[in-house]
Amino acid sequence: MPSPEELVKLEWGYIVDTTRCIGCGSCVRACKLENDVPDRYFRTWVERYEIGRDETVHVDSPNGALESFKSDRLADASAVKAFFVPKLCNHCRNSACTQVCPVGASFHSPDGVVLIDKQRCMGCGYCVQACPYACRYIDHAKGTADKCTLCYHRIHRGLPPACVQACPRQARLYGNLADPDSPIRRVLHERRYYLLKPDMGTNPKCYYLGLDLEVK
Amino acid sequence: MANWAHVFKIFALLVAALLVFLAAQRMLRPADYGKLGNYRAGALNDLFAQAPRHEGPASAPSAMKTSWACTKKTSTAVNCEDCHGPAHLHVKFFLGEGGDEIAEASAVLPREYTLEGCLFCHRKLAARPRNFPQVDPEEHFAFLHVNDATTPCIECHGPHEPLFLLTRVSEARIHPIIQECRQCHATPVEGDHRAVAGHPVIFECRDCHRKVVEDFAGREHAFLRCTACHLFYQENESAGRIFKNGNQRFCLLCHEKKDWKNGEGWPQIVPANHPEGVEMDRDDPTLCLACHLENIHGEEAMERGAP
Repeated sequence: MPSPEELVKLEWGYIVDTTRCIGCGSCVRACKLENDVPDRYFRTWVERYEIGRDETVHVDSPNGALESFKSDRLADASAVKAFFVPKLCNHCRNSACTQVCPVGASFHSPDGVVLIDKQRCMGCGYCVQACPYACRYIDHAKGTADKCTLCYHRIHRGLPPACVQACPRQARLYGNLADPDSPIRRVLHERRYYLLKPDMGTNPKCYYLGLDLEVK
Repeated sequence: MANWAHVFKIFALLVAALLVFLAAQRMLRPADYGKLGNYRAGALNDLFAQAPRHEGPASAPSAMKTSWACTKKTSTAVNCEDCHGPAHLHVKFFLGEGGDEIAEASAVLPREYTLEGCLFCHRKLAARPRNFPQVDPEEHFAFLHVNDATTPCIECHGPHEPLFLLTRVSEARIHPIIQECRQCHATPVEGDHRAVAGHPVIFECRDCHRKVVEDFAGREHAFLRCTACHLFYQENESAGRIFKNGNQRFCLLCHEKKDWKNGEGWPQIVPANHPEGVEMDRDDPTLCLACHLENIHGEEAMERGAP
């Protein structure tokens, strides 16, 4: 584990390239297996957006795309546009979840990851309600809130988060935003990106490439 | 003085409550709370203590990488653990680092070679990028005369080398993008686009390869689209790679006799019992086209750079 002095030099960020995602669910399965995520709950999931010719937006994510998607919801001819959007904790700089925690169990690590102290969390669920991205859930077996940790146990061992490693299309990228020469910084410098719900003022560190306005 | 007694009592009570609160806070608050921020510093170590389960490609011995990783396959980015499952026990057991705690049965990687396992990535879906290989299983099985709809893909496609291409992707010919009518038309189109005034010029095979396409139309494989054998892999918005195939394994994807095929459609053979006494070795580099070219193309089409 790096020292606190080394941690403050890091700021972990995340990129999702929606133009590359094939909705296979490899990331969801890898996250489940890596982190023992309980059934019916997800730290990361994949949503499918299908926009019909009448501009209606259909969004679905059957079981979080754990077993991918079985068929098109709209007939191919009627779907004007369809794409997948992986979701996960946005690790916001101004996160609502950490502000509402009454016991200081939700916090920002020195390297910019929003984490939960399972020893202090009492499972009140304020943070679950506060998160505008629905990225948290209550783990009823442990009686605490739970969420994506950006695989904190992996990134400080030099391994990528399980979802990043599992993605067969390199649709997910993580890295150190504090390093101007890091691959993630280069991508953000060269490509146009979008943030989820920017009007919420949460200042997320999860950046989306190729996103559509319909995505919330 | 007596008039202030009640004030002192209240003040004393407040001070006592404050002292109780501070004492309780000191006793209940973890010692490392506040060292790094408004949280318990030890929480970081708790999270870090979790052991990784997905080992990643770096953990595979080099010999395994050489023998299993196929240099020709297009899916080079697929991680072993995507199909085989987390390898933490596997690696520790076989490197002898797990002691007696890991049973061999739990160290063997689970395999996900079911039909569904492959379709997680390769089922045809409108939301998938068009340049990604996708298949409609019903359409594919009907085309191949497959009886059993649960037949796993690996009955024909090797998971480590699915298409048995003759060349690496990086060495295949750069080819302009192949347009399809459905990219612009929402419904199936009938007729010839050339008859439509002002229709954009599109790349159809016959636009550049007229002689070969006309010759092909009179041969046994004429019911196939050119891209059934000349697979096209789109690399960007304007170009891709196109392959010439004809090696044994590629042809056998359609022509190998299997129990779960109904035997109709086209000639199907058992490689070990090739008709006319020709023994087939799957690793034999001889192309099927060496004998069966007349069923597909004329001699001139085999020349490099043929129109």
